[in-house]
Amino acid sequence: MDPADIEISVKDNVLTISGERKMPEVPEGARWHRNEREYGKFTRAIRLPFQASDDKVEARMANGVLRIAVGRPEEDLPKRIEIKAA
Amino acid sequence: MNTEVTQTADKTPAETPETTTGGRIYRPLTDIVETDEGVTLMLEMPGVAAEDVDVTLEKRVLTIRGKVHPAHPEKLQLAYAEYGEGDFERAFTLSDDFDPEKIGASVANGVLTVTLPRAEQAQPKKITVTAS
Repeated sequence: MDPADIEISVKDNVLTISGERKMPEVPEGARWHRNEREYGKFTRAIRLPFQASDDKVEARMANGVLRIAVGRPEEDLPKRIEIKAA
Repeated sequence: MNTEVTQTADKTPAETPETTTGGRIYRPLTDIVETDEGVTLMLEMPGVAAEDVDVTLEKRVLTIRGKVHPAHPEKLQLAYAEYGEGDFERAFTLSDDFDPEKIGASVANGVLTVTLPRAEQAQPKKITVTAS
């Protein structure tokens, strides 16, 4: 499907992907022999293990496969604690 | 908000012999339409690039193969998977009247479109009926 028909959003820790698979354009008078592919609207929400900020989310589509990379925000990363000399 | 969920069809393994590497081969979902010029096939092969598609016609059997290069992002560990990665393969038996020289194939957004124009002599000739 066309990347333009996909909507991706993040709010708090929920990543939502929605879109619409459109019917292919066929010439008028064409007869359908088989119709196995499915069309219509879809949506899916995935709960992330951390709060995502939208500037750390990157989506790429290659050959019909959508790849979304969600980065963990700095403040959510484990912090190293220095041990001070007594 | 609409909460109804329609499950999409699961990927079906192709009816082909096993691979030696243990890699999976799936049967791509296909739409076929017939137009005045010929037949058009649309096969869903996500992850397959144009150069990894192989379309052959031999003795009326049209075989379509698509190779997927598995993605193994560095530094990442797989936590969850429901998307089966594997190649695609499917074959169709055609009628005699297709010209193998004129078969066209193109890939866009993971969908392979194969156009099979009917051979010249097989195209129905229109006969005009004149009033006597």
